[in-house]
Amino acid sequence: MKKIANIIEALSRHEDNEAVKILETVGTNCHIDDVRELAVKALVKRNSEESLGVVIENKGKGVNDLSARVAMTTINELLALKEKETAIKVLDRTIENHEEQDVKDTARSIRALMSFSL
Amino acid sequence: MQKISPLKTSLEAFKRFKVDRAKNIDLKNNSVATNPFGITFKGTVLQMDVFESASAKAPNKIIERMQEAGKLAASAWTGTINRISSVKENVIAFAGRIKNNTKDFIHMLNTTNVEFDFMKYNVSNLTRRPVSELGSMLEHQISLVKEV
Repeated sequence: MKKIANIIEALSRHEDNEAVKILETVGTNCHIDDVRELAVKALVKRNSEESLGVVIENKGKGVNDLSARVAMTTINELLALKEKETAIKVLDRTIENHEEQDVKDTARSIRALMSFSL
Repeated sequence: MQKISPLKTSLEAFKRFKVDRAKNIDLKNNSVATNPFGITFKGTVLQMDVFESASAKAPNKIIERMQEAGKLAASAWTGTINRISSVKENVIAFAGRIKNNTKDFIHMLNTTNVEFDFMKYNVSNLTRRPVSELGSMLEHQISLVKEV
């Protein structure tokens, strides 16, 4: 598990944007909760539109994960961000444009929490 | 008044001495007991000397002391042998333990794959690798977790 954590950490620091795809396809789709948790942490840490879009806009991933632990970890990581502008931008876009109502509601809740934590 | 003659006085004294000496000789010849205390046993003749002299006791003490010393030496020797045997057993057990530990260690070395990949999976080293390689490494590590 230590090796997996190190690889995911390296992907979170990597400059290549392909790292986001790897984290999405291999990390957030993994059947192991711990790996998904590490992947969403890495994606939030990258703090880019692509990486935050993965954890906010996708149903069954990140804040919408079926595992409450993974979802709560994602929300905590989002609220702990020092620079929240990109996250707020993605959340607003999700609230306005997303097709799924559940995803919209979740994004709206996180947006409200984030406005309190500003 | 009778005149005292020195010669006559000395003769009388000599006669008295002779009579006393004769009495003493008779007394010595009639007595049965030969012990120095002059005790008579009313006719019973002692066949052997039952009195222990002080000179006879001294060698016995020395012998007893020697015997006691011998006993002490024997017990000390027995204790030493016991101690040596226990130490020997301990040494044998210790050597056996060392031997078993060494065998286990060699067995562990033979059965364990020693991987020097702690540098390979260092985060700073991993960030220098291409993303595609990191992706395949991540998939491989996840598959290993799956097998466990």
